Amino acid sequence: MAFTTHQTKEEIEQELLIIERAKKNPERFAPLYDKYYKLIFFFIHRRTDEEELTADLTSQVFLKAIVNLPGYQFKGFPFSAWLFRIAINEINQFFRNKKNTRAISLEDDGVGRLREELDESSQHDEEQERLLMESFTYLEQDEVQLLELRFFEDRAFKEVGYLLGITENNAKVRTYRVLDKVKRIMKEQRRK
Amino acid sequence: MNNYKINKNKSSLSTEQVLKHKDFNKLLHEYKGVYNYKTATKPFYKNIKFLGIIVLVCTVALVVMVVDKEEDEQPKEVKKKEEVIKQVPLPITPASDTVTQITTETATISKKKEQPKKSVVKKDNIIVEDPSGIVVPDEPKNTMPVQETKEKPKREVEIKNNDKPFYKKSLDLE
Repeated sequence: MAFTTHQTKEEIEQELLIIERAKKNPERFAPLYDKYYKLIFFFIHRRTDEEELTADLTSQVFLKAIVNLPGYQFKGFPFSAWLFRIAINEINQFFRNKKNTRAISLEDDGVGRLREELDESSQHDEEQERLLMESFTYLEQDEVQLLELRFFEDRAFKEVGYLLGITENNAKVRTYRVLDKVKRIMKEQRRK
Repeated sequence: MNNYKINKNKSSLSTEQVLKHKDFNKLLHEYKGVYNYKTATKPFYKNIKFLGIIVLVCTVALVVMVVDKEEDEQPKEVKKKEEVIKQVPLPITPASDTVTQITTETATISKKKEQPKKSVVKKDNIIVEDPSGIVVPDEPKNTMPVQETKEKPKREVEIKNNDKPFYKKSLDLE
């Protein structure tokens, strides 16, 4: 499922009109809720892997969105990015408070992009993939989050920066640091 | 080491499964609850009325303080002026400039007939005319200039012995 939404100028303008109406009257928030509910639900479900928990977190995300909507300002990113940002904060807060196991959802495309970046595209054997999966266990949650957003969901660094509340350059630097860490871990795993 | 649940190529939930959780009315209801809670628990110092009263009180207090300060400064200035006047002795002017031909007759006040006085001259400043012709002014004790005080002319009421008031007449045994 694609998590990035490409919108034309007209679509963005129309959406901004709906947002302005919703700011004045929360009942007008319904079109935005209908449009983005599924997207946010899947985004959270990839990280929790529990249906009920995902439903709760999704409703929390939209509740925060509707409460904080008067403070929303268009900053060159679609409205969905703002919702993803709230969702990331909700997920992080949930896993900080509760000791539930966080899920990492991978698809072949995402794994392929990550392996290309790790210069391991030539080796397609199962052993290499197993090492890659194992290396995730040595990463912190924020490091996994960077890899998820950049490689598994195929987002631009600019968007990754916006979602994590950091600059584009900072997002790049952090991502490549995580990649270096993964490489080191995989090397050590091979030696063993 | 962190514990992650890694799912590879796991089939995602169906649209029906997702949409069964979707309920905008519930969200709106929750929003109203949160909004009411937010407004109900708004701290008093963020209340516009409270802030307005505070600003008003501060302004009034400031005005009162400024007015009080100005009033305090005014008497000080007057006192300072008085002190300066006391410290600096007035120059003794020659007698010819101030008083001209005042004789003892004019200076003495007749007890019998009280004439309306135009000016009061203090004893200190009375010039005694010496019979030799030399005018010797008394040393002025007070350096302050002679102040002219306007007094209303006293009405002269001549009471004749014969004109006794009626209540005395009745008691007169002579």
